[in-house]
Amino acid sequence: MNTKHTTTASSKIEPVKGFSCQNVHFTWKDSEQPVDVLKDVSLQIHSGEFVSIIGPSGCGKTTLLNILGGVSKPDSGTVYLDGQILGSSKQGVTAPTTSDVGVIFQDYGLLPWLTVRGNVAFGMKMSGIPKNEQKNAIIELLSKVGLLDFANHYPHQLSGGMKQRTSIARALANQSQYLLMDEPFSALDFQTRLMMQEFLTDIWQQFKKTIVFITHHVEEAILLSDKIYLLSARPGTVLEEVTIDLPRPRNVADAKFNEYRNHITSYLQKEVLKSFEEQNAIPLG
Amino acid sequence: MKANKDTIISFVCGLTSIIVLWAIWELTTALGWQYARVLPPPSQFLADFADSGFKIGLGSQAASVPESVASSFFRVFMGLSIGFVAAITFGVLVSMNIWVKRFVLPIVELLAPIAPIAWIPIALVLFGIGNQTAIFIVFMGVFFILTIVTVKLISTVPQHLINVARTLGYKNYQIWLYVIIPYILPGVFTMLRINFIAAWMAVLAAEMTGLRDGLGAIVMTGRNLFNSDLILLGMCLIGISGFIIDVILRFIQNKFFWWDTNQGTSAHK
Ligand SMILES: Nc1ncnc2c1ncn2[C@@H]1O[C@H](COP(=O)(O)OP(=O)(O)O)[C@@H](O)[C@H]1O
Ligand SMILES: [Mg+2]
Repeated sequence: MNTKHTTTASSKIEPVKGFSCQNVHFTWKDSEQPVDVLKDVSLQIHSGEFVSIIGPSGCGKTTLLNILGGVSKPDSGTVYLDGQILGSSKQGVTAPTTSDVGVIFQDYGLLPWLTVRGNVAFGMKMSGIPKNEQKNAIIELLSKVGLLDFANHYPHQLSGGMKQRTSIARALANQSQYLLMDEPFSALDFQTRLMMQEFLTDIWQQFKKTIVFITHHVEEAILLSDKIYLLSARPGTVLEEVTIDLPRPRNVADAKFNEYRNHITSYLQKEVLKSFEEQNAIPLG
Repeated sequence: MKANKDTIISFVCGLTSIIVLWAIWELTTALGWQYARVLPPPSQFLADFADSGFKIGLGSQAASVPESVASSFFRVFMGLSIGFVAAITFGVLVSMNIWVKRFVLPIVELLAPIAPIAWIPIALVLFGIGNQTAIFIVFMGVFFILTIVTVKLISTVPQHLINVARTLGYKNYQIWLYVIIPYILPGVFTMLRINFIAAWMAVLAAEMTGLRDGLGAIVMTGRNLFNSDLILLGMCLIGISGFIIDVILRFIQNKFFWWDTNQGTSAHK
Protein backbone atom coordinates (compact mmCIF):
# COMPACT_ATOMS: atom_id res chain seq x y z
CA MET A 1 0.00 0.00 0.00
CA ASN A 2 1.36 3.28 -1.00
CA THR A 3 -0.15 5.29 1.81
CA LYS A 4 1.42 7.39 4.46
CA HIS A 5 -0.11 8.69 7.62
CA THR A 6 -0.06 12.44 7.90
CA THR A 7 2.31 13.84 10.37
CA THR A 8 1.30 15.64 13.53
CA ALA A 9 -0.31 19.06 13.62
CA SER A 10 2.85 20.92 14.49
CA SER A 11 4.72 19.81 11.41
CA LYS A 12 5.58 22.57 8.95
CA ILE A 13 4.92 22.28 5.24
CA GLU A 14 7.11 24.40 3.04
CA PRO A 15 5.07 26.61 0.69
CA VAL A 16 5.65 25.59 -2.91
CA LYS A 17 3.98 26.18 -6.27
CA GLY A 18 0.39 25.12 -5.64
CA PHE A 19 -1.82 25.11 -2.59
CA SER A 20 -0.51 24.62 0.85
CA CYS A 21 -2.87 24.48 3.84
CA GLN A 22 -1.33 24.64 7.26
CA ASN A 23 -3.33 23.79 10.36
CA VAL A 24 -6.53 25.25 9.03
CA HIS A 25 -9.45 25.54 11.45
CA PHE A 26 -12.94 26.66 10.56
CA THR A 27 -16.01 27.12 12.75
CA TRP A 28 -19.51 28.23 11.80
CA LYS A 29 -20.52 30.68 14.49
CA ASP A 30 -23.78 32.02 13.06
CA SER A 31 -25.92 29.24 14.54
CA GLU A 32 -26.82 28.93 18.24
CA GLN A 33 -24.15 26.36 18.82
CA PRO A 34 -20.92 26.97 16.99
CA VAL A 35 -20.12 24.10 14.65
CA ASP A 36 -16.51 23.06 14.29
CA VAL A 37 -16.22 22.10 10.66
CA LEU A 38 -12.51 21.87 9.90
CA LYS A 39 -9.93 20.95 12.48
CA ASP A 40 -6.28 21.21 11.89
CA VAL A 41 -6.34 20.53 8.17
CA SER A 42 -2.92 20.45 6.55
CA LEU A 43 -2.47 19.43 2.99
CA GLN A 44 -0.44 20.17 -0.06
CA ILE A 45 -1.46 20.33 -3.68
CA HIS A 46 1.36 20.75 -6.14
CA SER A 47 0.98 22.59 -9.39
CA GLY A 48 -0.12 20.20 -12.13
CA GLU A 49 -1.48 17.56 -9.79
CA PHE A 50 -4.90 15.98 -9.82
CA VAL A 51 -5.91 15.73 -6.19
CA SER A 52 -9.15 14.33 -4.84
CA ILE A 53 -10.72 14.88 -1.46
CA ILE A 54 -13.03 12.25 -0.07
CA GLY A 55 -15.01 12.45 3.14
CA PRO A 56 -18.44 11.69 4.59
CA SER A 57 -21.24 14.13 3.90
CA GLY A 58 -21.11 17.22 6.06
CA CYS A 59 -17.47 16.82 7.04
CA GLY A 60 -16.48 20.19 5.60
CA LYS A 61 -15.36 19.44 2.04
CA THR A 62 -17.27 22.34 0.53
CA THR A 63 -16.06 24.61 3.30
CA LEU A 64 -12.47 23.59 2.55
CA LEU A 65 -12.98 24.26 -1.15
CA ASN A 66 -14.39 27.70 -0.41
CA ILE A 67 -11.31 28.46 1.64
CA LEU A 68 -9.04 27.34 -1.20
CA GLY A 69 -11.09 29.49 -3.58
CA GLY A 70 -10.59 32.54 -1.38
CA VAL A 71 -14.31 32.86 -0.73
CA SER A 72 -14.13 31.95 2.97
CA LYS A 73 -11.41 32.67 5.47
CA PRO A 74 -10.12 30.13 7.97
CA ASP A 75 -10.42 31.00 11.66
CA SER A 76 -6.86 30.01 12.15
CA GLY A 77 -4.13 28.47 10.08
CA THR A 78 -2.80 29.66 6.78
CA VAL A 79 -3.44 28.87 3.17
CA TYR A 80 -0.72 29.60 0.67
CA LEU A 81 -1.24 29.77 -3.05
CA ASP A 82 2.01 29.77 -4.97
CA GLY A 83 3.76 30.82 -1.78
CA GLN A 84 1.44 33.80 -1.18
CA ILE A 85 -0.95 33.93 1.75
CA LEU A 86 -4.58 33.66 0.66
CA GLY A 87 -6.59 36.06 2.74
CA SER A 88 -10.17 37.24 2.68
CA SER A 89 -13.00 38.16 4.95
CA LYS A 90 -15.16 35.41 6.32
CA GLN A 91 -18.31 36.34 4.45
CA GLY A 92 -16.25 36.93 1.37
CA VAL A 93 -17.85 40.34 0.89
CA THR A 94 -14.54 42.10 0.64
CA ALA A 95 -12.62 39.09 -0.56
CA PRO A 96 -9.71 39.94 -2.78
CA THR A 97 -10.29 37.81 -5.79
CA THR A 98 -7.99 35.03 -6.79
CA SER A 99 -8.70 34.77 -10.46
CA ASP A 100 -6.06 32.08 -10.64
CA VAL A 101 -8.68 29.77 -9.25
CA GLY A 102 -11.79 28.59 -11.02
CA VAL A 103 -14.61 26.89 -9.17
CA ILE A 104 -16.93 24.29 -10.64
CA PHE A 105 -20.05 23.27 -8.73
CA GLN A 106 -22.23 20.23 -8.70
CA ASP A 107 -25.16 22.36 -9.81
CA TYR A 108 -23.11 24.13 -12.50
CA GLY A 109 -23.67 27.73 -11.41
CA LEU A 110 -24.43 28.83 -14.96
CA LEU A 111 -26.16 32.15 -15.53
CA PRO A 112 -29.53 31.24 -17.05
CA TRP A 113 -29.87 34.47 -19.03
CA LEU A 114 -26.65 33.85 -20.95
CA THR A 115 -26.06 31.38 -23.75
CA VAL A 116 -23.27 28.81 -23.61
CA ARG A 117 -21.11 31.32 -25.45
CA GLY A 118 -22.22 34.07 -23.09
CA ASN A 119 -21.37 32.02 -20.02
CA VAL A 120 -17.92 31.24 -21.36
CA ALA A 121 -17.47 34.91 -22.25
CA PHE A 122 -18.49 35.74 -18.69
CA GLY A 123 -15.53 33.66 -17.56
CA MET A 124 -13.14 35.36 -19.96
CA LYS A 125 -14.19 38.93 -19.21
CA MET A 126 -11.72 39.42 -16.35
CA SER A 127 -9.02 37.15 -17.72
CA GLY A 128 -6.86 39.88 -19.17
CA ILE A 129 -7.11 38.46 -22.68
CA PRO A 130 -7.41 41.43 -25.05
CA LYS A 131 -11.02 42.14 -26.06
CA ASN A 132 -10.46 41.61 -29.76
CA GLU A 133 -8.94 38.17 -29.20
CA GLN A 134 -11.67 36.97 -26.87
CA LYS A 135 -14.13 36.05 -29.59
CA ASN A 136 -11.75 33.62 -31.26
CA ALA A 137 -10.49 32.29 -27.95
CA ILE A 138 -14.06 31.47 -26.95
CA ILE A 139 -14.74 29.64 -30.19
CA GLU A 140 -11.56 27.64 -29.77
CA LEU A 141 -12.51 26.74 -26.22
CA LEU A 142 -16.04 25.74 -27.20
CA SER A 143 -14.73 23.41 -29.84
CA LYS A 144 -12.30 21.88 -27.33
CA VAL A 145 -15.15 21.03 -24.96
CA GLY A 146 -17.36 19.90 -27.85
CA LEU A 147 -20.00 22.58 -27.48
CA LEU A 148 -19.49 24.61 -30.64
CA ASP A 149 -22.83 23.48 -32.05
CA PHE A 150 -24.53 24.53 -28.86
CA ALA A 151 -22.90 27.96 -28.55
CA ASN A 152 -26.22 29.76 -28.84
CA HIS A 153 -28.20 27.46 -26.56
CA TYR A 154 -29.30 28.55 -23.12
CA PRO A 155 -28.52 26.46 -20.04
CA HIS A 156 -32.08 25.14 -19.71
CA GLN A 157 -31.77 23.69 -23.20
CA LEU A 158 -28.72 21.60 -22.30
CA SER A 159 -28.25 18.16 -20.78
CA GLY A 160 -26.49 17.85 -17.44
CA GLY A 161 -23.21 16.82 -19.04
CA MET A 162 -23.31 19.79 -21.41
CA LYS A 163 -24.03 22.15 -18.56
CA GLN A 164 -21.05 20.81 -16.67
CA ARG A 165 -18.83 21.13 -19.75
CA THR A 166 -19.98 24.73 -20.13
CA SER A 167 -19.09 25.34 -16.53
CA ILE A 168 -15.65 23.81 -17.06
CA ALA A 169 -15.15 25.86 -20.23
CA ARG A 170 -16.02 28.98 -18.26
CA ALA A 171 -13.36 28.19 -15.66
CA LEU A 172 -10.83 27.49 -18.43
CA ALA A 173 -11.78 30.76 -20.12
CA ASN A 174 -10.49 32.64 -17.14
CA GLN A 175 -7.06 31.09 -17.69
CA SER A 176 -7.19 29.82 -14.11
CA GLN A 177 -4.34 27.46 -13.35
CA TYR A 178 -6.35 25.85 -10.55
CA LEU A 179 -9.72 24.21 -10.97
CA LEU A 180 -11.65 23.49 -7.80
CA MET A 181 -14.46 21.05 -8.40
CA ASP A 182 -17.14 20.35 -5.82
CA GLU A 183 -18.79 17.00 -6.58
CA PRO A 184 -19.08 18.09 -10.20
CA PHE A 185 -20.46 14.84 -11.58
CA SER A 186 -22.76 13.63 -8.84
CA ALA A 187 -25.90 14.97 -10.53
CA LEU A 188 -25.10 13.11 -13.75
CA ASP A 189 -26.29 9.70 -14.80
CA PHE A 190 -23.84 6.82 -14.92
CA GLN A 191 -23.06 6.92 -18.65
CA THR A 192 -22.60 10.68 -18.72
CA ARG A 193 -20.45 10.44 -15.65
CA LEU A 194 -18.05 8.01 -17.34
CA MET A 195 -17.81 10.29 -20.36
CA MET A 196 -17.18 13.30 -18.19
CA GLN A 197 -14.42 11.50 -16.29
CA GLU A 198 -12.66 10.84 -19.55
CA PHE A 199 -13.30 14.39 -20.68
CA LEU A 200 -11.84 15.81 -17.48
CA THR A 201 -8.71 13.68 -17.77
CA ASP A 202 -8.25 15.01 -21.31
CA ILE A 203 -8.73 18.59 -20.19
CA TRP A 204 -6.33 18.15 -17.30
CA GLN A 205 -3.60 16.71 -19.51
CA GLN A 206 -4.15 19.02 -22.44
CA PHE A 207 -4.31 22.28 -20.46
CA LYS A 208 -1.85 21.19 -17.76
CA LYS A 209 -4.16 22.36 -15.00
CA THR A 210 -4.10 21.66 -11.30
CA ILE A 211 -7.34 20.08 -10.21
CA VAL A 212 -8.79 19.74 -6.74
CA PHE A 213 -11.67 17.34 -7.00
CA ILE A 214 -14.24 16.60 -4.32
CA THR A 215 -16.21 13.43 -4.70
CA HIS A 216 -18.16 10.78 -2.83
CA HIS A 217 -17.28 8.24 -5.41
CA VAL A 218 -14.31 6.09 -4.44
CA GLU A 219 -13.77 4.56 -7.87
CA GLU A 220 -13.93 7.94 -9.56
CA ALA A 221 -11.29 9.31 -7.22
CA ILE A 222 -8.90 6.41 -7.85
CA LEU A 223 -9.51 6.58 -11.58
CA LEU A 224 -8.66 10.26 -11.84
CA SER A 225 -6.25 11.24 -9.09
CA ASP A 226 -2.56 11.41 -8.43
CA LYS A 227 -3.32 11.74 -4.77
CA ILE A 228 -6.38 11.39 -2.54
CA TYR A 229 -6.93 13.04 0.82
CA LEU A 230 -9.23 11.15 3.15
CA LEU A 231 -11.07 13.39 5.58
CA SER A 232 -12.57 12.32 8.88
CA ALA A 233 -16.16 12.85 9.96
CA ARG A 234 -16.86 16.37 11.21
CA PRO A 235 -14.85 18.18 12.36
CA GLY A 236 -12.97 17.29 9.22
CA THR A 237 -9.29 16.61 9.44
CA VAL A 238 -6.92 14.80 7.12
CA LEU A 239 -6.72 11.18 8.15
CA GLU A 240 -4.61 9.93 5.35
CA GLU A 241 -2.95 10.91 2.12
CA VAL A 242 -3.13 8.16 -0.46
CA THR A 243 -0.89 8.37 -3.50
CA ILE A 244 -2.34 6.48 -6.43
CA ASP A 245 0.56 4.81 -8.09
CA LEU A 246 -1.06 3.44 -11.22
CA PRO A 247 -0.30 4.18 -14.85
CA ARG A 248 -2.99 5.93 -16.91
CA PRO A 249 -5.38 5.05 -18.45
CA ARG A 250 -6.44 3.10 -15.39
CA ASN A 251 -8.40 -0.08 -15.30
CA VAL A 252 -11.04 -0.59 -12.62
CA ALA A 253 -10.57 -4.37 -12.88
CA ASP A 254 -6.89 -4.12 -12.06
CA ALA A 255 -5.78 -5.92 -8.88
CA LYS A 256 -3.96 -2.95 -7.46
CA PHE A 257 -6.89 -0.72 -8.27
CA ASN A 258 -9.00 -3.07 -6.21
CA GLU A 259 -6.61 -2.81 -3.29
CA TYR A 260 -6.95 0.96 -3.28
CA ARG A 261 -10.68 0.64 -3.55
CA ASN A 262 -10.98 -1.73 -0.60
CA HIS A 263 -8.74 0.41 1.54
CA ILE A 264 -10.56 3.66 0.86
CA THR A 265 -14.02 2.12 1.03
CA SER A 266 -13.41 0.65 4.46
CA TYR A 267 -12.10 3.99 5.72
CA LEU A 268 -15.15 5.75 4.32
CA GLN A 269 -17.58 3.30 5.88
CA LYS A 270 -15.95 3.80 9.27
CA GLU A 271 -16.17 7.59 9.03
CA VAL A 272 -19.73 7.61 7.73
CA LEU A 273 -20.72 5.42 10.66
CA LYS A 274 -18.99 7.81 13.02
CA SER A 275 -20.84 10.78 11.63
CA PHE A 276 -24.14 8.91 12.00
CA GLU A 277 -23.37 8.11 15.59
CA GLU A 278 -22.55 11.71 16.30
CA GLN A 279 -25.80 12.86 14.77
CA ASN A 280 -27.75 10.41 16.90
CA ALA A 281 -25.95 11.48 20.03
CA ILE A 282 -27.30 15.02 19.66
CA PRO A 283 -31.02 15.13 20.42
CA LEU A 284 -32.84 16.66 17.51
CA GLY A 285 -34.73 19.95 17.82
CA MET B 1 -46.46 22.65 -32.87
CA LYS B 2 -49.05 21.58 -30.32
CA ALA B 3 -48.69 24.82 -28.40
CA ASN B 4 -49.26 26.67 -31.65
CA LYS B 5 -52.47 24.80 -32.30
CA ASP B 6 -53.67 25.53 -28.76
CA THR B 7 -53.03 29.22 -29.28
CA ILE B 8 -55.02 29.26 -32.49
CA ILE B 9 -57.96 27.41 -30.92
CA SER B 10 -57.97 29.75 -27.92
CA PHE B 11 -57.84 32.75 -30.20
CA VAL B 12 -60.73 31.55 -32.36
CA CYS B 13 -62.85 30.74 -29.31
CA GLY B 14 -62.16 34.12 -27.73
CA LEU B 15 -63.01 35.93 -30.94
CA THR B 16 -66.22 33.91 -31.29
CA SER B 17 -67.51 34.87 -27.86
CA ILE B 18 -66.73 38.53 -28.47
CA ILE B 19 -68.67 38.43 -31.75
CA VAL B 20 -71.60 36.62 -30.13
CA LEU B 21 -71.71 39.15 -27.31
CA TRP B 22 -71.64 41.96 -29.83
CA ALA B 23 -74.46 40.33 -31.85
CA ILE B 24 -76.67 39.95 -28.76
CA TRP B 25 -76.01 43.55 -27.85
CA GLU B 26 -77.00 44.80 -31.31
CA LEU B 27 -80.01 42.49 -31.38
CA THR B 28 -81.48 43.62 -28.06
CA THR B 29 -81.19 47.22 -29.18
CA ALA B 30 -82.80 46.47 -32.54
CA LEU B 31 -85.65 44.74 -30.68
CA GLY B 32 -86.26 47.93 -28.72
CA TRP B 33 -84.77 47.11 -25.32
CA GLN B 34 -85.53 49.96 -22.93
CA TYR B 35 -81.97 50.49 -21.74
CA ALA B 36 -80.59 50.86 -25.25
CA ARG B 37 -80.42 54.59 -24.62
CA VAL B 38 -77.72 54.23 -21.92
CA LEU B 39 -76.09 51.23 -23.54
CA PRO B 40 -75.95 52.08 -27.25
CA PRO B 41 -74.40 49.24 -29.27
CA PRO B 42 -71.15 49.64 -31.19
CA SER B 43 -72.91 50.18 -34.54
CA GLN B 44 -74.43 53.32 -33.06
CA PHE B 45 -71.59 54.84 -31.08
CA LEU B 46 -69.02 54.05 -33.71
CA ALA B 47 -71.17 55.69 -36.40
CA ASP B 48 -71.66 58.78 -34.26
CA PHE B 49 -68.00 58.81 -33.59
CA ALA B 50 -67.13 58.70 -37.29
CA ASP B 51 -69.58 61.53 -37.94
CA SER B 52 -67.81 63.74 -35.44
CA GLY B 53 -64.53 63.34 -37.33
CA PHE B 54 -62.88 61.35 -34.51
CA LYS B 55 -63.03 64.39 -32.26
CA ILE B 56 -64.46 64.60 -28.81
CA GLY B 57 -65.67 67.65 -26.96
CA LEU B 58 -67.00 70.97 -28.15
CA GLY B 59 -65.40 73.58 -30.37
CA SER B 60 -61.86 74.55 -29.56
CA GLN B 61 -61.71 72.21 -26.55
CA ALA B 62 -62.22 69.15 -28.75
CA ALA B 63 -59.51 66.55 -28.53
CA SER B 64 -58.89 63.92 -31.15
CA VAL B 65 -59.36 60.34 -30.02
CA PRO B 66 -55.97 59.06 -31.19
CA GLU B 67 -54.39 61.87 -29.19
CA SER B 68 -56.32 60.83 -26.10
CA VAL B 69 -55.26 57.23 -26.51
CA ALA B 70 -51.67 58.25 -27.14
CA SER B 71 -51.50 60.45 -24.07
CA SER B 72 -52.87 57.71 -21.78
CA PHE B 73 -50.39 55.22 -23.22
CA PHE B 74 -47.54 57.68 -22.83
CA ARG B 75 -48.41 58.33 -19.18
CA VAL B 76 -48.67 54.68 -18.29
CA PHE B 77 -45.46 53.69 -20.02
CA MET B 78 -43.49 56.59 -18.61
CA GLY B 79 -44.74 55.86 -15.12
CA LEU B 80 -44.05 52.13 -15.39
CA SER B 81 -40.57 52.58 -16.90
CA ILE B 82 -39.46 55.19 -14.39
CA GLY B 83 -40.97 53.16 -11.55
CA PHE B 84 -39.25 49.96 -12.71
CA VAL B 85 -35.81 51.52 -13.09
CA ALA B 86 -36.09 53.60 -9.92
CA ALA B 87 -37.35 50.70 -7.80
CA ILE B 88 -34.51 48.42 -8.91
CA THR B 89 -31.93 51.14 -8.36
CA PHE B 90 -33.34 52.03 -4.97
CA GLY B 91 -33.79 48.38 -3.96
CA VAL B 92 -30.19 47.65 -4.87
CA LEU B 93 -28.89 50.66 -2.92
CA VAL B 94 -30.99 49.70 0.10
CA SER B 95 -29.76 46.11 -0.03
CA MET B 96 -26.11 47.10 -0.08
CA ASN B 97 -26.06 47.92 3.59
CA ILE B 98 -27.89 46.00 6.28
CA TRP B 99 -28.40 49.14 8.40
CA VAL B 100 -29.83 51.17 5.55
CA LYS B 101 -32.10 48.21 4.88
CA ARG B 102 -33.27 48.05 8.48
CA PHE B 103 -34.07 51.77 8.63
CA VAL B 104 -35.49 52.35 5.16
CA LEU B 105 -37.48 49.21 4.40
CA PRO B 106 -40.18 49.75 7.06
CA ILE B 107 -40.98 53.14 5.54
CA VAL B 108 -41.32 51.59 2.09
CA GLU B 109 -43.52 48.84 3.51
CA LEU B 110 -45.73 51.47 5.12
CA LEU B 111 -46.14 53.40 1.88
CA ALA B 112 -46.67 50.40 -0.38
CA PRO B 113 -50.29 49.58 0.59
CA ILE B 114 -51.49 53.11 -0.26
CA ALA B 115 -53.64 52.71 -3.35
CA PRO B 116 -52.31 54.65 -6.34
CA ILE B 117 -55.67 56.47 -6.56
CA ALA B 118 -55.03 57.96 -3.13
CA TRP B 119 -52.05 59.84 -4.57
CA ILE B 120 -54.21 61.80 -7.02
CA PRO B 121 -54.99 64.80 -4.77
CA ILE B 122 -51.37 65.23 -3.73
CA ALA B 123 -50.19 64.82 -7.32
CA LEU B 124 -52.60 67.50 -8.50
CA VAL B 125 -51.32 69.90 -5.86
CA LEU B 126 -47.69 69.11 -6.63
CA PHE B 127 -47.75 69.05 -10.40
CA GLY B 128 -51.03 70.66 -11.42
CA ILE B 129 -52.93 69.45 -14.43
CA GLY B 130 -50.67 67.68 -16.86
CA ASN B 131 -48.66 64.62 -17.78
CA GLN B 132 -46.43 64.87 -14.74
CA THR B 133 -49.36 64.26 -12.44
CA ALA B 134 -50.44 61.11 -14.24
CA ILE B 135 -46.89 59.79 -14.50
CA PHE B 136 -46.36 60.47 -10.81
CA ILE B 137 -49.47 58.48 -9.93
CA VAL B 138 -48.43 55.46 -11.97
CA PHE B 139 -44.95 55.75 -10.51
CA MET B 140 -46.27 55.77 -6.95
CA GLY B 141 -48.48 52.84 -7.81
CA VAL B 142 -45.55 50.59 -8.66
CA PHE B 143 -42.45 52.06 -7.02
CA PHE B 144 -42.86 50.89 -3.42
CA ILE B 145 -44.06 47.41 -4.12
CA LEU B 146 -41.33 46.87 -6.73
CA THR B 147 -38.72 48.13 -4.28
CA ILE B 148 -39.88 45.57 -1.73
CA VAL B 149 -39.81 42.82 -4.35
CA THR B 150 -36.34 43.88 -5.47
CA VAL B 151 -34.97 43.73 -1.94
CA LYS B 152 -36.63 40.39 -1.32
CA LEU B 153 -35.35 38.83 -4.56
CA ILE B 154 -31.83 40.10 -3.98
CA SER B 155 -31.71 38.08 -0.78
CA THR B 156 -32.55 34.94 -2.77
CA VAL B 157 -29.64 35.15 -5.22
CA PRO B 158 -27.74 31.87 -4.69
CA GLN B 159 -24.45 32.39 -2.92
CA HIS B 160 -22.67 30.05 -5.32
CA LEU B 161 -23.47 32.30 -8.31
CA ILE B 162 -21.88 35.19 -6.46
CA ASN B 163 -18.92 33.00 -5.56
CA VAL B 164 -18.50 31.98 -9.18
CA ALA B 165 -18.24 35.61 -10.24
CA ARG B 166 -15.93 36.44 -7.37
CA THR B 167 -13.50 33.64 -8.14
CA LEU B 168 -13.57 34.69 -11.78
CA GLY B 169 -12.24 38.07 -10.73
CA TYR B 170 -15.39 40.18 -10.67
CA LYS B 171 -15.41 43.13 -8.32
CA ASN B 172 -18.36 43.84 -6.04
CA TYR B 173 -20.00 46.43 -8.28
CA GLN B 174 -19.56 44.11 -11.26
CA ILE B 175 -21.25 41.30 -9.36
CA TRP B 176 -24.23 43.58 -8.77
CA LEU B 177 -24.27 44.59 -12.40
CA TYR B 178 -23.70 41.24 -14.08
CA VAL B 179 -25.12 38.71 -11.64
CA ILE B 180 -27.52 40.07 -9.04
CA ILE B 181 -29.49 42.56 -11.13
CA PRO B 182 -30.01 40.22 -14.12
CA TYR B 183 -31.00 37.50 -11.69
CA ILE B 184 -33.86 39.53 -10.21
CA LEU B 185 -35.15 41.25 -13.38
CA PRO B 186 -37.77 38.65 -14.41
CA GLY B 187 -39.28 38.52 -10.93
CA VAL B 188 -39.49 42.29 -10.64
CA PHE B 189 -41.00 42.57 -14.09
CA THR B 190 -43.65 39.97 -13.29
CA MET B 191 -44.59 42.07 -10.28
CA LEU B 192 -44.75 45.15 -12.51
CA ARG B 193 -47.25 43.39 -14.75
CA ILE B 194 -49.37 42.38 -11.77
CA ASN B 195 -49.43 45.96 -10.47
CA PHE B 196 -50.02 47.53 -13.84
CA ILE B 197 -53.82 47.21 -13.53
CA ALA B 198 -53.94 49.29 -10.35
CA ALA B 199 -51.70 51.92 -11.91
CA TRP B 200 -53.80 51.96 -15.09
CA MET B 201 -56.98 52.52 -13.11
CA ALA B 202 -55.37 55.32 -11.18
CA VAL B 203 -54.43 57.13 -14.39
CA LEU B 204 -57.97 56.81 -15.70
CA ALA B 205 -59.35 58.12 -12.44
CA ALA B 206 -56.93 61.04 -12.60
CA GLU B 207 -58.00 61.75 -16.16
CA MET B 208 -61.63 61.73 -15.08
CA THR B 209 -61.17 64.00 -12.12
CA GLY B 210 -58.33 66.39 -12.64
CA LEU B 211 -56.77 66.12 -16.07
CA ARG B 212 -58.80 67.10 -19.13
CA ASP B 213 -57.42 64.72 -21.70
CA GLY B 214 -56.71 61.04 -22.11
CA LEU B 215 -59.09 58.08 -22.18
CA GLY B 216 -60.63 58.81 -18.80
CA ALA B 217 -61.53 62.29 -19.99
CA ILE B 218 -63.53 60.85 -22.90
CA VAL B 219 -65.85 59.09 -20.49
CA MET B 220 -66.12 62.22 -18.34
CA THR B 221 -66.88 64.45 -21.34
CA GLY B 222 -69.60 61.99 -22.30
CA ARG B 223 -71.09 62.26 -18.85
CA ASN B 224 -71.01 66.04 -18.83
CA LEU B 225 -72.68 66.17 -22.25
CA PHE B 226 -75.23 63.45 -21.32
CA ASN B 227 -73.87 61.57 -24.31
CA SER B 228 -74.04 57.83 -23.75
CA ASP B 229 -72.43 57.13 -27.14
CA LEU B 230 -69.33 58.88 -25.92
CA ILE B 231 -69.36 57.06 -22.56
CA LEU B 232 -69.58 53.69 -24.26
CA LEU B 233 -66.92 54.60 -26.76
CA GLY B 234 -64.60 55.64 -23.93
CA MET B 235 -65.27 52.44 -22.04
CA CYS B 236 -64.55 50.30 -25.08
CA LEU B 237 -61.34 52.17 -25.77
CA ILE B 238 -60.27 51.75 -22.14
CA GLY B 239 -60.90 48.02 -22.28
CA ILE B 240 -59.06 47.55 -25.56
CA SER B 241 -56.15 49.78 -24.54
CA GLY B 242 -55.68 48.00 -21.22
CA PHE B 243 -55.65 44.71 -23.05
CA ILE B 244 -53.11 45.94 -25.60
CA ILE B 245 -50.80 47.26 -22.88
CA ASP B 246 -50.95 43.92 -21.12
CA VAL B 247 -50.06 42.18 -24.38
CA ILE B 248 -47.13 44.56 -24.84
CA LEU B 249 -45.93 43.91 -21.29
CA ARG B 250 -46.19 40.18 -21.83
CA PHE B 251 -44.24 40.52 -25.04
CA ILE B 252 -41.50 42.46 -23.25
CA GLN B 253 -41.38 39.78 -20.56
CA ASN B 254 -41.04 36.95 -23.07
CA LYS B 255 -38.51 38.81 -25.16
CA PHE B 256 -36.26 40.39 -22.54
CA PHE B 257 -37.00 38.95 -19.09
CA TRP B 258 -37.85 35.36 -19.83
CA TRP B 259 -35.37 33.36 -17.81
CA ASP B 260 -36.49 31.15 -15.02
CA THR B 261 -33.90 31.39 -12.29
CA ASN B 262 -34.84 27.94 -11.07
CA GLN B 263 -33.49 26.45 -14.26
CA GLY B 264 -29.99 26.32 -15.58
CA THR B 265 -28.47 27.15 -12.23
CA SER B 266 -29.82 24.01 -10.72
CA ALA B 267 -28.91 20.37 -11.02
CA HIS B 268 -32.47 19.40 -11.73
CA LYS B 269 -33.28 20.28 -15.27
N1 LIG C 1 -23.75 28.72 6.17
C1 LIG C 1 -23.60 27.82 7.15
N2 LIG C 1 -23.90 28.14 8.42
C2 LIG C 1 -23.76 27.24 9.41
N3 LIG C 1 -23.32 25.99 9.24
C3 LIG C 1 -23.00 25.60 7.99
C4 LIG C 1 -23.14 26.49 6.87
N4 LIG C 1 -22.76 25.83 5.77
C5 LIG C 1 -22.41 24.60 6.16
N5 LIG C 1 -22.55 24.45 7.49
C6 LIG C 1 -22.24 23.25 8.27
O1 LIG C 1 -20.90 22.92 8.05
C7 LIG C 1 -20.74 21.54 7.89
C8 LIG C 1 -19.88 21.25 6.69
O2 LIG C 1 -20.53 21.67 5.53
P1 LIG C 1 -19.92 21.39 4.09
O3 LIG C 1 -18.58 21.98 4.02
O4 LIG C 1 -20.91 21.87 3.10
O5 LIG C 1 -19.85 19.80 4.08
P2 LIG C 1 -19.62 18.80 2.85
O6 LIG C 1 -19.39 19.60 1.62
O7 LIG C 1 -18.46 17.98 3.24
O8 LIG C 1 -20.85 17.96 2.77
C9 LIG C 1 -22.12 20.93 7.74
O9 LIG C 1 -22.31 20.06 8.82
C10 LIG C 1 -23.07 22.08 7.79
O10 LIG C 1 -24.08 21.79 8.72
MG1 LIG D 1 -20.52 19.75 -0.13
